[in-house]
Amino acid sequence: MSDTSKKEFKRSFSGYVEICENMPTGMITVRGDLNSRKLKSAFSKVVGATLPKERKVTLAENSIAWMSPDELLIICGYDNVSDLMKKLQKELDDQHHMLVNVSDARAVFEVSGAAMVEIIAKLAPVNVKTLEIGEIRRTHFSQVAAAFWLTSEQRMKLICFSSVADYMFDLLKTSAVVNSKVGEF
Amino acid sequence: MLIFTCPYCGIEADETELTPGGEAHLKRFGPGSSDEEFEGYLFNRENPKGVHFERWRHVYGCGKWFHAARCTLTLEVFGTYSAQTFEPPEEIKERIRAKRPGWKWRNFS
Ligand SMILES: [Zn+2]
Repeated sequence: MSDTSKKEFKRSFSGYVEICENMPTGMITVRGDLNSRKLKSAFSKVVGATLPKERKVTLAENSIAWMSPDELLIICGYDNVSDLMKKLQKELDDQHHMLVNVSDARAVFEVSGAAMVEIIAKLAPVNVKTLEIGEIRRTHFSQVAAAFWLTSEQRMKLICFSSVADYMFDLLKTSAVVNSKVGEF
Repeated sequence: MLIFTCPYCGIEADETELTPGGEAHLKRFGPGSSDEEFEGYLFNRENPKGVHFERWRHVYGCGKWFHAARCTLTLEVFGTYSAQTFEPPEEIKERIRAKRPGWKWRNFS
């Protein structure tokens, strides 16, 4: 394998928006009772963040995304995963929960540019006018499942299964081809 | 287009984000039931032109199953509600009474 340690991203494309696939990111799926005091204190102690409200993403060093009423996703450095998991496991020892390292099962993309929301509108059944910065939206982009959130008005992050990363990259590329702008937003 | 608000995550999800789960509020008849009950449980379904109750799953979203009340003729949605219940909430039944006076569906009206 080639040395990727110095690369900032896996691949990128410049159309009427910028698209890039990020280098592997650490991700941990957490299942459990999100209202339990123990889970909350474990998160503030280990992850250093409060739990996000419904559909929100906390944008800290380790961000936490609300995935469903009983599921969270921790997004952290690729190399921090096992350490975080060990510590969380210890804190949640006697409480029903599930932690899974899904880092290698996910791909992360970033789309940026003034017409970024148009790319979402082209590919997902989402009313982009209702999107707020820091709100995660689980949906599908064309044929595959994806979750995304706006990090600013002109930039969004998207995660999908790594098994469909090529499909997603091609999809985003095709929708961002120069001269294909609709100009609706 | 059919759009349901998922009661578990609050998202307005269109049909392509959901998986249909068939008729709602079925009572299971298993071992020990009569042949007729078992046949009814397996095969007999409502097929109304109008008010209907269904199960749907927010499969591309939060992944939760929920219940929905809608009109099969106009696609009007009367409401969505928790999957952890044996019958539609009174509030939804009331809404249907106002819009479809005299409606009846299995034991509900
Ligand atoms: Zn949902």
